[in-house]
This record gives sequence, C-alpha cells and structure tokens, in this order.
Amino acid sequence: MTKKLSKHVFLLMVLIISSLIFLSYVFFAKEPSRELVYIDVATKEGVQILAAKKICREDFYDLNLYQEFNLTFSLSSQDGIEFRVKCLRDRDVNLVVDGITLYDLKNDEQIFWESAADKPQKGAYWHVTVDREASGNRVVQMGSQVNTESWLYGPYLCNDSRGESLANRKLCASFRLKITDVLLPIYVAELSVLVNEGEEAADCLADTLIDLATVKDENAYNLFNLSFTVPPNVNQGVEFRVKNRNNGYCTLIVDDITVYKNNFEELVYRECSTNKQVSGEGWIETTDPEALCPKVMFISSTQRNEQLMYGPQIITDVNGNSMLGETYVASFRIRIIKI
Amino acid sequence: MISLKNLLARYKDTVLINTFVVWTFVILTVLLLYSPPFDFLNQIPGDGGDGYQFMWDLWWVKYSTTELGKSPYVTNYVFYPDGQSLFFHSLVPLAGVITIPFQDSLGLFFSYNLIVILGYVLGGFGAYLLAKYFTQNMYASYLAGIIFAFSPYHLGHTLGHLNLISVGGIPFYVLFLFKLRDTSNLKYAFFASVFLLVSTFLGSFYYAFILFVFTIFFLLYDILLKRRIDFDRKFIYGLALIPAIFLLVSGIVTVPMFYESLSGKHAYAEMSINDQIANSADLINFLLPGSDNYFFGKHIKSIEYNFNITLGGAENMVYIGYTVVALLLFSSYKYKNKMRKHVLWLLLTGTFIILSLGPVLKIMGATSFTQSDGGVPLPGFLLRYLPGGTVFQSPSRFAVITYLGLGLLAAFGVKYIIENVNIIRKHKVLPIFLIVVLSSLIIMEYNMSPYPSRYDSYVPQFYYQLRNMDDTFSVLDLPAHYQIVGWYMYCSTVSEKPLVDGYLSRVNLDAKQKLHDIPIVKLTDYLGEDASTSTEVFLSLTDEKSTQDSFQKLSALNVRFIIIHNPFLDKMAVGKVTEYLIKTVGAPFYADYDTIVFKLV
Repeated sequence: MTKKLSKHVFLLMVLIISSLIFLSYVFFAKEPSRELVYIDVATKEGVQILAAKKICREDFYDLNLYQEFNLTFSLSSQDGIEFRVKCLRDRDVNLVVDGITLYDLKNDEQIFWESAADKPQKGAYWHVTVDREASGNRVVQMGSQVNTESWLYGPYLCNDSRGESLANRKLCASFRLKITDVLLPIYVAELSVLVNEGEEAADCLADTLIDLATVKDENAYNLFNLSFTVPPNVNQGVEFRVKNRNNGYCTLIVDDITVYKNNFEELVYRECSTNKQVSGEGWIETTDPEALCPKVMFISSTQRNEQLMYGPQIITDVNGNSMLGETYVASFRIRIIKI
Repeated sequence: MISLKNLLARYKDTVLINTFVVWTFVILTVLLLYSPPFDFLNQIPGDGGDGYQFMWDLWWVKYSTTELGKSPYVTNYVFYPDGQSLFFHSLVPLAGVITIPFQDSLGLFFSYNLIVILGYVLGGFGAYLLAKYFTQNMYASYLAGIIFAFSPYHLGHTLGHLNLISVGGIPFYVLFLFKLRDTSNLKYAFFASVFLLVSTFLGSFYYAFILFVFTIFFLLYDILLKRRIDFDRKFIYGLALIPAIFLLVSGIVTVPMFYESLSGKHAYAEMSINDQIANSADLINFLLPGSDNYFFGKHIKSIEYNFNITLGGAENMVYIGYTVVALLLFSSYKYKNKMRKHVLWLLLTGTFIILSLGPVLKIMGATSFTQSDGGVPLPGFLLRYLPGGTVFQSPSRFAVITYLGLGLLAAFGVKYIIENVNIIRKHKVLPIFLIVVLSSLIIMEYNMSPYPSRYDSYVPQFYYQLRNMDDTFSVLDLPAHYQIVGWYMYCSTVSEKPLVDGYLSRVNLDAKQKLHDIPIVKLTDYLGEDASTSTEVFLSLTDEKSTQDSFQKLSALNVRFIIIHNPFLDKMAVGKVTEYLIKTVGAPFYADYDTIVFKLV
C-alpha cells in the first residue's frame, strides 16, 4: 500500500512540477521579446565580451531621435577590441546606427570615433545612407522587414586615434543609435528634364530623385512622371536625362521615355533609351521581354554613381510641332532591381 | 479470454506510470530544445545546415512514393539529369513515411519536429524500460532515461542530424536482446529485429552498425567473461532470427548497397582513415562540455581560442558530466560489492568510449605525441575491416551506447542509495526528491539552452511560380557552396523541380566537381569567397569562350533558370554576377528581396 502510494505521489509530483514549469514557460513566452538590438565590446573575435547590453524598445525615448548607449569597460590585454552591433529578429521598427565614440573616462576625453557606415557587415545587409542628423552624415540602417540577425563588427582597435595603447585604461564606448518608423530614403536615380544644356542659360525644367523604398515590384517597369513647361525661347532644345545614383543598391533598366500633352491624352514624343548618349562605361545595352523597346539600357549596382544618359535635344514633337511654350509630362519607364 | 477491460485493469499502474514518464520526456524535450514562442510550424532545433537536407529527405520519401511511384533510394531531383543513388545517403525513410500525413497539412518543419520529439521520447522511455528491467526501480530507471535522452551526444546531433536524433530503437533493441537471452522466447527476437529496423530506417545505418558491434560485445561478454557456452537452442535460433528478419525486410535496400559495395560503385562513399580520425572523439571531449553548454560554454570558448582547438560541434559532444561521474564514484565506493555485479555495463561503457576515440588516440587535437610523429593506435582501427567499416565516417558516434551504459550504471548506483541510505529508505518521498535533484543537476550540466533554432521556413516566392510550370527542366541555384545547397533542396520541395546540384551525406564528388567547373558556377564560387576577386579571374570566367562554355553545359543539364540568392553573397558579388548575366542573358525574369532569376532560352 505504502509502495503504491509512494508511486502515485512520485507521479503526481513529477506531473505537477513539470506542468508548472511548462505552463509558466509558455505563459512567459506569450509576450514577444521587445529586444531590438544587441551591442557589445569584444576581443578575441567575440570570444571575450568586455561589456554588452541588449537594448529594448522601451530604452529609446522616442522614434527618430538619436540616443547614446554607453558601455564601460577596461582592457587588460593588448588584444584588439571590436564595437559590435547586432540587430535582433522580429522588430517592428527600423534601426539606424550613426557611429561609435570611445572615451577615456579618467581624462574625460574622446579618443576615437568610428562611423557605423564604415564597419564590416555580416548577415543581411545594413544599408548605408545619408542622414543630416547624424554626426558623420553617413549612417547604416536596417529595415524592420529584415527578419534575420545581422552584425556590424570590427575595427579590432589596439590604440586610440593618437596611437596610444588602449590597454589598462578605463574606457567607455558610446553607440549612437535611433529607431524609425519610416526608412531613411536611399536614392538610386535622378531624373531630369533640361533645356539649353551646354549654354549659359541652361535650365532644369523638372527633376526628381527616385527613392529605393518607392519600388514596389522589381518585376515591373515603374513610370516616373515629370511635368514641365518649355520656355518660349530655347537654343539647345529639351533633353531627358537619367543619372545613376544607385549607390550599389540596385540595377537600373531604362526602357523608354514618352512625352504627353493634355493630361496624358496626346502622345507627342517617344524615345528608346538605346537611342540616348551615355557618359562613362556603365550603361550597357541588353534585352528584356517585358520592355516596350526592342532593347533597353541597364546600369549595374557595381558601377559608380553620376553616370548619365542624356540627349537628344529636341524642340519639335513627333508631328513636327514646336514644343516651345507648351506644358508636357515626361514619363520615364524604368525597372529597378534591388541588389 | 482476456478482455481489454481486464487487460487495462491488470496493467493500470504500469500504463499510468509509463504515461507519466512519457509525458515528462515530452515536456523536457520541448523545454530543452525549443524556445518561445514554441512555433512548431516554423521553428526547428539546430543550426539549420543539415536540417534542411533532412526536410528534403522527408519530402522526397513522400514525393517519390506517392507522386512518382518510385523507390526513394534513387533520385534525379538532385544532380540532375544523372541523379544519384541514395543508398549511402542518410535518408530517413521511416521518418518520411511517418510524416506523410502531416507534410502537406502542417508542413515540413512540423514533420521534422515530430521526428525530433519522437527520438527523444522513445530514447528516454526505452532507456527507462531497459533500466527498469535490470533495477526494478522506477526512480533509478528514470535517471537512466534522462542520461540517455538528454546526453550531450544526443543534444549535439540535434543541431542537424535527424537520423542520429532517432535513438529510440537502440535501448529497445538492447532490452529485447537481454530478454531473449534470459527467456529464450522467440517473440523477443522478433521485437529486437523490429527495433533494429527502427534504429536503421528511422535512425541510421550507423546505428545498425553500432548495434551489430554491441551484439558481438554482448555475446563475447557471455562467452568469454561469464564462460557461458551452453546457450539455449531457442536463444541461438532467436539470435539467428534477428538478422534474418532484418535482412528480409531491409533487403530492398541492403542488397543494392552490397551490390554497390562489391561492384566498387560506392567508392565515393568510402571515408579515408584521416576522415575517420577527424571525426573521432577527442579524449578531452569526455571531460569538457561543448562551447554551446549553458553553464560552461563561455569558459570552453576561451579554452578553444587559447589552444586553437574545437570542442563544440555535433561530432565532439561526448561529455560525460561530473554529476554522473560523482554518482558512479560514490556508488562504486560505497556499494562496491553490489556494483561489481554490473561489470557488463562498465565494460560496455568503457568499450564504446574507446571505440568512439576512433583509429588513433587524439588529445587536444593532437594525434602524435612523440618527436617521430608516433600516434597511439586504438581498436577502432580494426572497424575498417568490418563490413561497412570504411563508410563509417564518425567513430565518435559510438558514444551513443556509452550513454546507455552510463545511464544503467547511474541507475544501479541510485537504486543502492535508495535501498541502503536509511533516511531515504524510511521517507518515501525522499527518493522522488533525490531523482528530481539528480535529474536537474544532470540536465543543467548537459544543457545547451538556449538551444540554437532555425526559424526560416520561408521559401522565396519564385519557387511557387516554378511549381506551376509544367515542363521538365532543372534549376541552378547560385552560389552553390556546400551547406547552402541543403537549403536549396528544401526550397525545391516547393517547386518540385530538379536541381543540378545537391547536398547529400555521401556525394559523388566527380559529379559535384563537374558542376563547379562550369565557368558561371566557378565565378560565383570565387565571388562568394571574395567579392573583390581579381579582374583577370573575373574576365577569364566571363569572356566569350567561358560564356559559351557555361551556357552549353547548362543547356546540356537542361537548366532553364539560374537563381541568384542575394543573402548568400556579398552585395558587390551579387552586382557583378547580375551585371554579367544581364549582359549575356538579358534582364532578369524575376526579382525580389531574396532572389534574382534569369531565364535561359
């Protein structure tokens, strides 16, 4: 009887304890992690962590506001230190990293600064872009749609900016970060309508920058429209330009440029991109079954910025009518493939 | 006639106890291997590399049998069009069959998780029953189940070896082998052969091989040490019946395997002795936990860094645990006369530790200890001369039996403590606390929490488009380096289109090399390693001749689509490959966040 009772007590205990642990685990699991980013100062390729912090949503005072997160540490060896940033999964905000500043706490002075935009990356891409509010102008950002962990690491620093060893000093690394609900723009192309190019009176009739975030479907051509009015007197005619500004983020494929009058009712001009002149060697001819023209021009993400597609300069439309003094809409048909 | 009601009434207690034991193993498995939010449809334990390959295995077993009506052991859905036999691949056909009802409705991640949990629960429960057979003490036996199921070996291989996770058949085979010896009842021979088949086809041929070695050990122990040669005739029949049933049922696989072995077709599957040494346990691994260990991981990483050695990784996880060692030392010292009776399990544990050390002794990564590069040869060397011994890649996997032996020894030790320590004997609740404390200590010591998880059940959208294309053609995924191809295979479970590449546990390297000699594949290999590959190399692989060569060879392989996977290449590398392909093939057929796809006409 006692033996039997003991068996049942054992079973009951095991069941109760295990169920309690299980249920509490699952109960706590209901609340998703609010941790957004992990920062640390490490040596020996991450084996030795000198200081680390997980930053939660609540640690940020507000959206779109840079904040500094400090890690205090001292280095006992001559090993190079890294300032690492890891974006964590399941974030509902974008993350922007400006830079890391290293302070000597004893002398209360800044001894090193590093732009996050220059740090090596591992994992999904951090995009380098421009932010006027940043201390170094260039920042890196990670969109909330990226659901994998990704690192910024390096620079394996042994000495400060003056060349003095970091060993045996009380130091503080300050990581400057912010969270945003809207991604900072990444401009990939500049479209413009010019007149009198090459003359002293050259004038930009309309222009726009294409933001990578506006590209919804990489498999379709997007139409980018620019309204413009041709002045009554021109010397060199109107030309439509596409300038590469992709910053390594995309491949641009330009199909054609069409010009409409009367609120898109009347097509007055059309040119295929292959008929245009180019600057540099980046723009290359290829085929695309989705294009309207037999051939298209593309420029790869590997090509440098500022390469231009330009000309010809026109002053009459396809019907031979003068364009002077008239208002038009130029429609650029471009496909943007993110890299 | 015994009615079900009577049967249930008779075994009410046993059924109740066993249900609770199984339930606790389920809970512990979930807690130790999974993390919040316990999303079994999108999360698998492990680092993902081989896990995706095993999900392809599960799918392939289902697809080949239910859709194509073909044997799953031959495929041209990888290494298309020639394909490859999967006899020496770690296919898990029984796991594939078990998960058929769930693959479509709940997905491959769920199916994978089902087999993982089954492996732990069956393993733990089997070890519990085995220990109970010998100790007649359920508390002590429970500890044996804990040691076997949550051993570092098991946790280590859960990083991605679905076949080796399925250890469930091993303790049952051992149990029925002992029952056969003790009763000479032929039904146990039948059960033993069933669990040998389970160990092989839910698990791995490794386990068949290990159980074969165990059976030899089992017989030698009786003959040499117990000087028992007067075996019951029925026992001998039973022993003969086990391989007979095994070969009869598995003949469809084992006969072609032997044929391939004899005809020299399986040369690609053979491992060199250096491979076996590399995949043997290091003596230090028995004393130090892996770098993923919850408590000691940080210190182990420092040791790894300072001594430039690797203590982590699935093949190195053979840590015995100081709680178990302390328990055994205490029991052996205190109850030496009683523990002496269990020399079988001590010998078994020791023998399999030695076998897991492989052909030569390895300590802290070193295999030579004298100036003349002299190594210490070990009995594991002889295994190369057993059938299948050269295909046996990882001697460290013998450690699976070590934990069974340790579990049994620990169970005997605890049994004597419970029976002989007065305070524990008198208070009936104390044995429970003893087991809870010991189990907790052992689990904490073996623990790898938070266990690595993969969440990426996501398959790029283009594979869904591919699925709707009717013709027969193949797909080239780039970059094509090593483990990533396992993930491409997982993606191909959606597209149901063959791949020209493949990631199998035994790969015909000639076929693989042939693929990687194609200039475009070679180009992405180079760019994958270093995006700033020299201009000369880039130009030589993209000039007119190389381009022509690439597309001729891809055409011969019936490749219709080249898929560039952005996340696996540096941005610069993606740009370069894309630029080259746009120039030569035209604009991408499809592009999204993850992939850029080019159609070959």
